[in-house]
Amino acid sequence: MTGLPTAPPRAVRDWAVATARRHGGRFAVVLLCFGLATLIGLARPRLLGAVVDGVGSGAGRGHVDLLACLLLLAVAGQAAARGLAKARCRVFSETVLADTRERLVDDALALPLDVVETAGAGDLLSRATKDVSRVNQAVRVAVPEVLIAVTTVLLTTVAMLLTSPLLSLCLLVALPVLVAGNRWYQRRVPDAMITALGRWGRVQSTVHESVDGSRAVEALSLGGRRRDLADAALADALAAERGIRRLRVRWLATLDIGYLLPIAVALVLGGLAHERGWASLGEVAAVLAYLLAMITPLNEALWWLEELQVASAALRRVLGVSQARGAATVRDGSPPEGRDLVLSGVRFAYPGGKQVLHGIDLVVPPGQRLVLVGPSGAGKSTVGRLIAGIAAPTAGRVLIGGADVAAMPDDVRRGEVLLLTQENHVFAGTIRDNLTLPARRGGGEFSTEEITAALTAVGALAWVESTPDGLDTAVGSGGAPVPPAVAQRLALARVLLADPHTLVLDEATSLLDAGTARSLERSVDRVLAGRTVIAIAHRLHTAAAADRVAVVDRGRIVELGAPADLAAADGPYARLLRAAQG
Amino acid sequence: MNSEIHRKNLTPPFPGTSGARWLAGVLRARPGLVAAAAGTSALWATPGALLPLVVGGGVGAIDAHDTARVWWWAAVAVALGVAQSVLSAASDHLNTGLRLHGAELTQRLVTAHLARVGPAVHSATTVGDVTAVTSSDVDYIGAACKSVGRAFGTTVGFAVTAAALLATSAPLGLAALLGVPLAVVSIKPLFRPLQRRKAAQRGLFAAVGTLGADIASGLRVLHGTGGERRFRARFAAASGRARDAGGPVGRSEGVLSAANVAIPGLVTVVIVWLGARLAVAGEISAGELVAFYGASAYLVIPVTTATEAVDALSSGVVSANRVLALLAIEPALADAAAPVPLPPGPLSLVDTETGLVLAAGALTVVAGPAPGLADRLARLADPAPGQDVLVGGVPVREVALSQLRRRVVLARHDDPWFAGVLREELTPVHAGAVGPAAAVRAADADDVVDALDGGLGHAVGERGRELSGGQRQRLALARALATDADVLVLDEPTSAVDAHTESRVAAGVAGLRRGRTTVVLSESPLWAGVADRVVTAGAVAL
Repeated sequence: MTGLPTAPPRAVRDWAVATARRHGGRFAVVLLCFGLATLIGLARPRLLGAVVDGVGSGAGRGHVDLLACLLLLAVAGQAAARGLAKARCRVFSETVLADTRERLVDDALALPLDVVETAGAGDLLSRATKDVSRVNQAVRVAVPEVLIAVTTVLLTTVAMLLTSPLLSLCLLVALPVLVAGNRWYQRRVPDAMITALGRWGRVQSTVHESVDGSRAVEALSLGGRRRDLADAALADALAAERGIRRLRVRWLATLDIGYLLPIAVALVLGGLAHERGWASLGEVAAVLAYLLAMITPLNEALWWLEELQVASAALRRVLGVSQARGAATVRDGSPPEGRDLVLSGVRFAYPGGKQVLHGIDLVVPPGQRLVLVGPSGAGKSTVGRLIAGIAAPTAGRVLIGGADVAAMPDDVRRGEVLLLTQENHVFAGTIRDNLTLPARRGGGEFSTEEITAALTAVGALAWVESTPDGLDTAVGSGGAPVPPAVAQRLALARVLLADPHTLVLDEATSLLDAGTARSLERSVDRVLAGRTVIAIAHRLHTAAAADRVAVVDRGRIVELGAPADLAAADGPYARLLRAAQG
Repeated sequence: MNSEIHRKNLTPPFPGTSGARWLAGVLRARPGLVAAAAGTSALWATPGALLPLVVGGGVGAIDAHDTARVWWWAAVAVALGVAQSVLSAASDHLNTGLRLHGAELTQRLVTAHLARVGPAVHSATTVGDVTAVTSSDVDYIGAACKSVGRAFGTTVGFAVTAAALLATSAPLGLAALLGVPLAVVSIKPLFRPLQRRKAAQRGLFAAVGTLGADIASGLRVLHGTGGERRFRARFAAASGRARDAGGPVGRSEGVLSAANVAIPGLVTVVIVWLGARLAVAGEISAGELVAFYGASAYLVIPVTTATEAVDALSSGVVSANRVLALLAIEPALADAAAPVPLPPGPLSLVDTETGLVLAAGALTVVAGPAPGLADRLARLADPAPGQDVLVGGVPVREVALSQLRRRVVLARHDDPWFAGVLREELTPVHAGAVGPAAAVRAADADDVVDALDGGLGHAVGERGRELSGGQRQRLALARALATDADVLVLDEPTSAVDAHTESRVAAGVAGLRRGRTTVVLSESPLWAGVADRVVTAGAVAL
């Protein structure tokens, strides 16, 4: 299975530049505040140097007290600037994150279904949840910390150079150690962390599968095997963690040497310089204080670097979704006049894949009920999706009221034709939220009366009324459970609210047990009277009640006619009927 | 294996154990590791604690123009660097070891317990809660274990600095030792509003996350019914609420961040000021003043680490309590106290509630509704009081569950498919005479297997999402057929396949199961066509 694409590393740079540009003003304020906080902070070692010099030159208590007051002001100033920077930074990062996740949702909603299906819904799911939260984590915590650390280290270096260029030479000994160690580590650790996160994900998904399918696990005595699988996944995750630890331990060993070498060099240099009168004792003390002050921010920056690397890998996956959108097709076709459904010479092939439909011709007058039957893989569902305009034919045309369905603007098309499949999904939100997803014909919001009428029609009103808050009961992830049979009725109620004149039902009841399916089909028939219905079914009793039946086989319509006529003829439908009756 | 030993040392359930005691038990399982981690962490903290004193000594030597002593202090600084690098690597290794130990032990206990309780877990908790234990509580317990070593180490670091400072100047030393912890502790209350606001924002984020997860699973529905625009509007609204909640969080963070600079900074100012006055009075040297300045900054680290450790431990205790609640769940079905062995050979089934008698060695189709029948026959649920299910003449509750599960297997139409290599998933725990290939053929799933890269060697992803409903159903049927169980109960096994496929499946199953007891719950005439007998619940016909 090929997943969705991952954006190239340069996409992250482009994203960062575009983001900084879009929110330029805010970003500048944040940088300014952090810089100011650091600058004021740098005055502290300077003032300490002045105190030391003052003590050395025999200054009085008044001088020392004055310096202490200045030191106090510096602390207050630094605190204020840092606090302001932190608060502004949070607002900035929340804005950026909201933009990013809303963009992901736009991209995801624009994905063609076949792309998601080939990539697996799990791939999109982990990008929309895990990767987004990884980026959140980094932007919220790592970005301010790295900004603070980097401005501190840079400005401290400048301050050191201003205090004593000679003594600042001590920094040079740290460079090779720190650069070599970090390059080595940063090249290896992101991959190792992504591996570990993936393996922890597998521990979770294994446990999740076992708990979710615990009845099947019990019925098939799979308990022991599921435990062993989870333990094996855990062992893999721990092995990856130990791999990261091996990398980190080696890297840590280089850090402390990198921090302490310049201090030793500064002492020796300082001794020589002071001896020869090139630097005062205060200058030596200030440089040493700068060096001590640099250790913590430098350490922080280096630790957060790793988080940023992982986040940029996650961001590349988030940004990758937009690449799968492909070129947006402009849909500005003419509005339909009438409701006749016409398929002429319709062919369909998956991109780079095999041809599924080999020329379908079909005319369905308004209000007719047509059932498509035929073996699995014959192309029935593809016909349904082309009629609903979810995919466009590679050749030929699907017309409703003379207008090309594939060229209709989404809003127009949904008012004409909708697709209901066996897959239903209960969205997080209230029952009302779930039902009112489609746009209301004529605009505005659906009234409670309209919703209740739809629920009555599908026979789900009693269930809704039995929930604690009726229409406002929270359902979906974390909400009240919705039994599959009710979920399918709610899906149907949603379609009724959308009120299309043509409806494609693709095995809409096949995952329900036979009794529930039949009762739901009866409700469907009742409420859909007068609409054009294209039903795809494998249960043949559905076909018997239709106006016409089309037998689809290997991408072609091989037989078409009224069910009674076809049953009488000795064609594919009759053979199918005989097979179904055993 | 190591983990086997741990499991024995700490076997659930632990009636009445508190989270804290349980956490202590997790640590006691590896006493050597705990001691080594704490010891190395203590040593690791020492060079950092000594560094300001070394710098102070160096400045003193420079002040005294004593070149030899300057070189000596520089050499000490290098030695400290080497010592610290070795110790920081070693302590990270050992502390991470503690974290992994805590996470591993917890996860293994949870996994083993889940295998033991089976479906009963759903009566006591939600899938989401179990997943939360695996994803976050295991991490928190690991972090709590890790914090123990670090906390001990920094306490030692604090003590070393304290001793050195007190030896230099008692009043200044006291100011530093009392001032720094007081400063750190006084910041603590500022965390509360931040945590409250963060919790509020987390709630809003959870809503955004659920909506995000909805796209992946609901995209087909959204495309089908044209709900994109409203969904996008709802997402944008939820996302905006979460973004706006960031403002108050930012203000709290700003205040906290300012306090983190201001309060320890204040202590440093006081120490420098007092120290300068002492230096002016000639009671301490300039070098000692520099040392005090450095030490007061350094002392913030051990005190902060200690408070972080307290936080980590309290989160760990909360998580441990959640884990204990999970471990306290008991299986729903009582195993037979004095098990009666099942007779050898094909087994008959009797359900007194419906009056159904299912003959041994025959394929019986139960047509018409029979709620709960399948679960009762395979004892996934117990019969109602006064009713019973007899397997081979033995009341089902008197059969040892392990034996029953081995001989009576139930497959339902909505059984999930588990991720893994197809051949492994199709190989039953207790292999019989039916191999994966024969089972696949009987379930008419050859085309499904052939279409996958590598056939039976193909690794199917999570929940078999890459397969269609009908394909999954046929594979799940093949998985049940492969058990070659003496009794196989199939609940609507072909609800998601077309009539052609259904007739092939029915014929395949009938052929494969010849001479074995097979019960199929289905109204389809295709199953009736291959049955030895067709019955309806409540009455026995044909």
